[in-house]
Amino acid sequence: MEAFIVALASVWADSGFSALTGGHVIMIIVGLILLYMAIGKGFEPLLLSPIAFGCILANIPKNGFDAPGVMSVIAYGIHHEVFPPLIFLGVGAMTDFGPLLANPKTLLLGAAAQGGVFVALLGAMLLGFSVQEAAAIGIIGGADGPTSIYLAAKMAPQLLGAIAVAAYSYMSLVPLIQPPIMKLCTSEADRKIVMKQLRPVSRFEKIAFPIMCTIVISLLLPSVTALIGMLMLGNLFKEAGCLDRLSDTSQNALMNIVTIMLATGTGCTMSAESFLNYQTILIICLGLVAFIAGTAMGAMFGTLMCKLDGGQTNPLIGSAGVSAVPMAARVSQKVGQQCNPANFLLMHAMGPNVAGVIGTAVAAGTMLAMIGPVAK
Amino acid sequence: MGAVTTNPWLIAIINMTIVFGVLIALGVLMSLIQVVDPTKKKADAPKVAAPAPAPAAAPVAAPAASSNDEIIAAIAAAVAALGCSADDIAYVRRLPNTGWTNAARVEANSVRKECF
Repeated sequence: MEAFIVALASVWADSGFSALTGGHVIMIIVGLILLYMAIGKGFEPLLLSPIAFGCILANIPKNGFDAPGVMSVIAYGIHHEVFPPLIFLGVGAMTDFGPLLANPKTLLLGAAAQGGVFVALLGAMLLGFSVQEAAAIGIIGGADGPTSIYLAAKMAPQLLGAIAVAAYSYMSLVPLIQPPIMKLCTSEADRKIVMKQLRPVSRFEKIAFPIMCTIVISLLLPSVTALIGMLMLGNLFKEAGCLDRLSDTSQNALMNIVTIMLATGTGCTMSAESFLNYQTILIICLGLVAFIAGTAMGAMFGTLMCKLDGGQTNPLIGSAGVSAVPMAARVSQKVGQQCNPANFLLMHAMGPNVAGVIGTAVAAGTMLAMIGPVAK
Repeated sequence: MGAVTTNPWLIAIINMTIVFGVLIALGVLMSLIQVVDPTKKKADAPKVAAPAPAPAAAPVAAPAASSNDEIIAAIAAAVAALGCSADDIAYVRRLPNTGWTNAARVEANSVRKECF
């Protein structure tokens, strides 16, 4: 009998229950809520589900994730910026730069929407975050998950979990956050504007653009060569016409595998010790401010562009300048059709939308060049 | 190397200037690519030789193939669903590639569920 009790005590001592804290329980509940939002409510299920599950796994005491194994490989991929460029490879293979090439002035809308990044940066520094932390928090306003993770891993690895969760949570809430701000920043008459059909873009332009864009941006901002290079390589696979197998792998199999690893790894950074603190609440609030400011600045710049070009631009496409590809463009289309059911803005909004992806990467590269990564 | 500056206003102003500058440079690059496009002339050539488009006066052009009748009927139904009548249709004519390419793009963007 005594041996039985000793064995039971040993099992108990080795179990996770013996080390379970209130913080772990709270974070497991957070993981369950995120799972419900992903599966039950359909908010970004492909990303939020593995993030939520990773959160639950990270808060199982004595999980052994520090020992060599698949989880340590995933953690390595997160902390050493392996996954974000691979995600960009897939994003590039799924992206059509045609609308942007057909209407290059929409690049300015993608630039204007980056204003949210710097509003959040200012707010973060005023709230006492260091300049590196503020830069990593600010990039949430770019609405670009991989770039947020990339910059956080370099500049504020201790905040990576909170930043990634804030970025992906708000990206999934784009259809709820953006419309009221878009309506506030534009007039009804402007929202009804029907834009001209885009010109056809030649195959040469579509092939030359990713190559030239990579060379120019990488020479200017070498710190984001991995991100921009992989984005444009993926796009080259798509447009080359003779690389269909690579394009197919990049946008399907590889993308799915890397999404599983990136999202699960992000969830695994949400341990109670690093997540349950006052800073996380501030980051979540600053992320929302960044999103709102980015949307507002994009829409306001769209209004300005509309006035300057004699009413040819519907300002609603400006809000798509925050990346969140292609959700933000879909929101522009939906809000536009509410005002004018015959209006089709989706392809016009894809221009600023993909410009936003490039703009966020440029903003990240500029901050890395100006501020520098944190010493590891 | 340490931070060049820790003044948040200066960081914001310099960064926004660089973001605008780089994207404007990309815009110039795009225009340059369009100008030097060696395939542009080949694409333009058939346009010159192409016959004049069908007169716009006809309410609905009558194409020979029956599949086109179905497409026109579908377009008319879609227009009616938007609250307009079939009389509002001036003409229906096939554009060289663009319309269908755009439709495929719209569909491709609409079916994607994830957001990056």
